[in-house]
Amino acid sequence: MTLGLILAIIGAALAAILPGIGSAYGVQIGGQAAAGVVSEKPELFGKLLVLQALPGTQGIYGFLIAVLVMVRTGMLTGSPVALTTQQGWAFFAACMPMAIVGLLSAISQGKAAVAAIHMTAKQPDSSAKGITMTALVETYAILALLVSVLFVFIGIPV
Amino acid sequence: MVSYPFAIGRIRALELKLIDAPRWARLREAPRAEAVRLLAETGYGGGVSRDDPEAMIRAEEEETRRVIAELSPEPAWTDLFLLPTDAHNIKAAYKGKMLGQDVSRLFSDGGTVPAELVRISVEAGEYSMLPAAFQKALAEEYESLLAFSAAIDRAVFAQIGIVLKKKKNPLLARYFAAQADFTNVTSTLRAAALGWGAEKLSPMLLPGGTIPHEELAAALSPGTQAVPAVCRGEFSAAIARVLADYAQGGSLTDAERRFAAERIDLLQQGDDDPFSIGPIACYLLRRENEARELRVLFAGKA
Repeated sequence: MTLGLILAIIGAALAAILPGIGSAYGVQIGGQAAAGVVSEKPELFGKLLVLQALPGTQGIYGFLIAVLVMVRTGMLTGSPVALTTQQGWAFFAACMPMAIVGLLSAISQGKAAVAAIHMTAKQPDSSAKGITMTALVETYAILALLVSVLFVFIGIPV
Repeated sequence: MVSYPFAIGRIRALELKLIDAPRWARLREAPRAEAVRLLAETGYGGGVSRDDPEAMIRAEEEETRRVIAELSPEPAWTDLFLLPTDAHNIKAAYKGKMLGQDVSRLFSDGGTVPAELVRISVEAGEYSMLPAAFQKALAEEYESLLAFSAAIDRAVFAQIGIVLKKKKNPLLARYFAAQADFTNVTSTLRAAALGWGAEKLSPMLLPGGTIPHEELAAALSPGTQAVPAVCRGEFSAAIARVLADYAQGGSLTDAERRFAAERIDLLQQGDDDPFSIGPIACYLLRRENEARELRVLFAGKA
């Protein structure tokens, strides 16, 4: 196994780990807020579940990038490509947009979801507005996902 | 341990039970029996007699304090808002002990120490279960119930000072400083109306405010106009705003109600932060304010 391949694996692992941590935190605080509301108003469970789930997408995006790196480097087929060190660093760098933006945007989205859940508790009819406001944070995770995908698939010759 | 998102989620749902403007209007217009029925409809008085508004209001206050104590992520801070209930129970127990009367109906649950424990502590003269400032105040001897009452009121703010010194919270520090100032200003104006001198006012003044006590005492000097003289300290603008009506012949009771509203406004700055004590404290104050307004409303219908 070459140093380049190890670097690519570290990049893929970080792309899966960091947004996963962010999403877990975001969904956790969203779940706490929703549990507080549902303890008094059980009928809001359905509306709040969507808001709680929103910060979970970054973890999925990170997982997707990790899988794409594994596909490109042949790790999924059992015959990994002997990447050069430069190629390894390139894969590592390609994973960073999703790894870093995924972590931070999931935490931010979790906080936005908490505020939206609290708003929905007071005005149940506003849940769609809360979902829209929370989903806007997603924009930056999607942009980071696109950048990472383009780098992994087009930007790095293997 | 309860988290802030959970606690404030529950608070936001509970806030819907606060009496809104249309319901206030109906309560004001309705005759007494109808108003009591409307109050019961809002959820007041669960488990107590539904024909005694005072018992219903008191039960709701106790329930609010119980909920706050149960869901608080930082009991050290929410306990500060429950200290006046301890003070009330200590005063009741002391009065019962001094006068040899049964004062059990005066006790109120929902303090930082159970009411029954306060009664037993005061009767036995064993105060170690009470907050430190109360222990110190109870260890002294007093020549009258009024002097004792003033000492316990001072002990509330002394205890708040002790806690906020150990555990910083700028929002609460500002809030309680304002409360001390507002209460001291009200006491000074009451003293001026009663023709008291500075020596009689001095024990009534609370620690922890931003207006030096000497400046408040100076407002009682002959030839001094009390209202402009007390508009001092960090909250002078709010004090001047509230006392504008009082200076024109308004009542001190109205001024006290407006001071309570100013206090809520101060805490409102923390009400939008779902990761702070602000929304919990705001809810408790709104509930207390609601109880005060309901008592005034039913007193007018008696």
